[in-house]
Amino acid sequence: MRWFFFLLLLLPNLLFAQDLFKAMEALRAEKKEALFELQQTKKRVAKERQGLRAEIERLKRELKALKEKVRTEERRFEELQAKRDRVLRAQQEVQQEAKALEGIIRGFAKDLKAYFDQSLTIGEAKGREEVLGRALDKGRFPGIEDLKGLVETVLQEIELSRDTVLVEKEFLSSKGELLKGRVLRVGEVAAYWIEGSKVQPLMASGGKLRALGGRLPWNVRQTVRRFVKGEGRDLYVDPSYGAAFAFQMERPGLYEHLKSGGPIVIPIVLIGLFALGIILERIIFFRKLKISKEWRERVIKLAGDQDWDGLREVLGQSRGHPCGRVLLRLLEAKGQKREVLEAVLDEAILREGMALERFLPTLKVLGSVAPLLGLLGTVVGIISTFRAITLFGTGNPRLMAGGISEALVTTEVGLVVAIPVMFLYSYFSSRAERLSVEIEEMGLILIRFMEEEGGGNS
Amino acid sequence: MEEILRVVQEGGALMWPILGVSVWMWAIILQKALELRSLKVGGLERPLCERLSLLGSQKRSRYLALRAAELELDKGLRELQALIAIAPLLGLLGTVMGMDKAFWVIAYHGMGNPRALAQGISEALITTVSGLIVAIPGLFFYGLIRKRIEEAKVGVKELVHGAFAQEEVR
Repeated sequence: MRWFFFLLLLLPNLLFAQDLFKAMEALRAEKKEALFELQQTKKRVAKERQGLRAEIERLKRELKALKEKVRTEERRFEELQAKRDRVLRAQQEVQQEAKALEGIIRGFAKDLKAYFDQSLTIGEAKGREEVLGRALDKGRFPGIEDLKGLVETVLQEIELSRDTVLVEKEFLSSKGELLKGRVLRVGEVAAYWIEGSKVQPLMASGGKLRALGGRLPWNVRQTVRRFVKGEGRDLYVDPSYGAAFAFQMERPGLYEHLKSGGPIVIPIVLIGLFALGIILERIIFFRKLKISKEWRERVIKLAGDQDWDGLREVLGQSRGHPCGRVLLRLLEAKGQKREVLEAVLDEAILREGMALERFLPTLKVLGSVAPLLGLLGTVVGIISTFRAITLFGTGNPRLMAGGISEALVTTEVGLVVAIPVMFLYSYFSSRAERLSVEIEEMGLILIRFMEEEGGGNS
Repeated sequence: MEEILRVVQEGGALMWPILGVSVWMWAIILQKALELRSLKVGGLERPLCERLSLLGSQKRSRYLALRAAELELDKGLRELQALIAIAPLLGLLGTVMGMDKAFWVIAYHGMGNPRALAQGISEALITTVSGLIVAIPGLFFYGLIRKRIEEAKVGVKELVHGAFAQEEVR
């Protein structure tokens, strides 16, 4: 049984064994095929790998080349950037330069305008305003044309400043009215407005001509008038653009000068006038009183000849003369004793001497009082100035200087009065002394001749 | 000469009268000096004798003759004295005027204009100096002349009194 069973078991196997072999055969074939295929695939893979490797190599090379390119490009970029910066900088420089140039031209134009505004040629130069206006216009760049225009105005100014001309011009009067009148312009250093005998200096400021108020000194006006008439070749000029004229016009005249000295000037001036009156009276008085040599010799000759009637006649003619009066008086006392005659002479001389010396002591007093009053006025003025200083401090030197300047006026006036008065006093008193000696001499001569006659008769 | 003219111009208006006073003063001094020089020879005697011959010989006549002679000698001396007194006064006047001007410049311009200020001050200084320059030598020569004149006066006195003393003795 067991075999059977074994056989039984074997039978299928034998049955299947056939199939198994067949299957094994198939499998072997399949394996072989698979192997072949594997090999094939391996081969292919290897081939592909090789291709890919080559590809990688290629790509790597490419990458390298590209990197290289990037680097060069970057360098170029940098170079270009530097170049661009340079160009930009240069452009900026050029722009700055242009701006500076514009500034210079504007500055020049501004200076010119300031100069022309002070120039006396205002109103005579044509087109100057427009050229300056264009050059100073902020909205546009001052080009070469404007520059040429500016140069042109300068040349024009130089040309104008060369001439001395008489022109009709517009200007502002000292009260601010617009006037048109005859103006004598001397280059750029003086301009006078001439109307009739009136001569006023003009000053240019702020682009306007202005007449200065006040009066020019007499000699300046006279030279201008003479020049205009063609009589003179001299003129007063003012190279300080009107400052000297303004200064001159601001200076107080004689009246203002005296007035600024305060109340003490009044008595000094009165003293001066009084002294002047006395001096005039004395001059007139003494002018008639010269004892001429001819008269003197004639009288001596007549007395020597004992021609008393002739002498009386001559003396009667010169009754206006104190010497004549004294001698006449003596002649009337003829025949008396010498002592009496001398007494008569003394009395007559005393009387005439009073007339000779009249006012002279007064003149002396006036001459010495005037400077003292002047000093008083100065001291008073300085005291009030110092009082002002104690009130306001020394912050304003003008205030102080003005006070002192006014204080000095009285001293000035006092000295101006005193100096001629003192000198003339000395002159008059010596004249009076000399005259009285001369009269006495004539009297004594007459007495001698009268005595001689008396002695001769007796 | 130009230098003098420049100084005169710098000194302002008062320099002309000072210059005038100076010229006048020196003219008198020169004239007196020449006069006194010629006097030495005895030029006094003749006019004195002429005068005395006219006046007679009374005491009073003698005194008058003396006085006239003295007056003759003193001629110009008073003017000289007055001129010497006036020169420094003119200088002072110039100084005061210059100071006035200077202070006026300050009042008008402030302290900003030293040139105009200096003009006034230079006027002030120059005039005083000129006044003194005129007066000091003037005073010196006045003294000399005065002394010579006093001497001459003594001589005249002696002459007159001596002559009449002899006459009276006779």
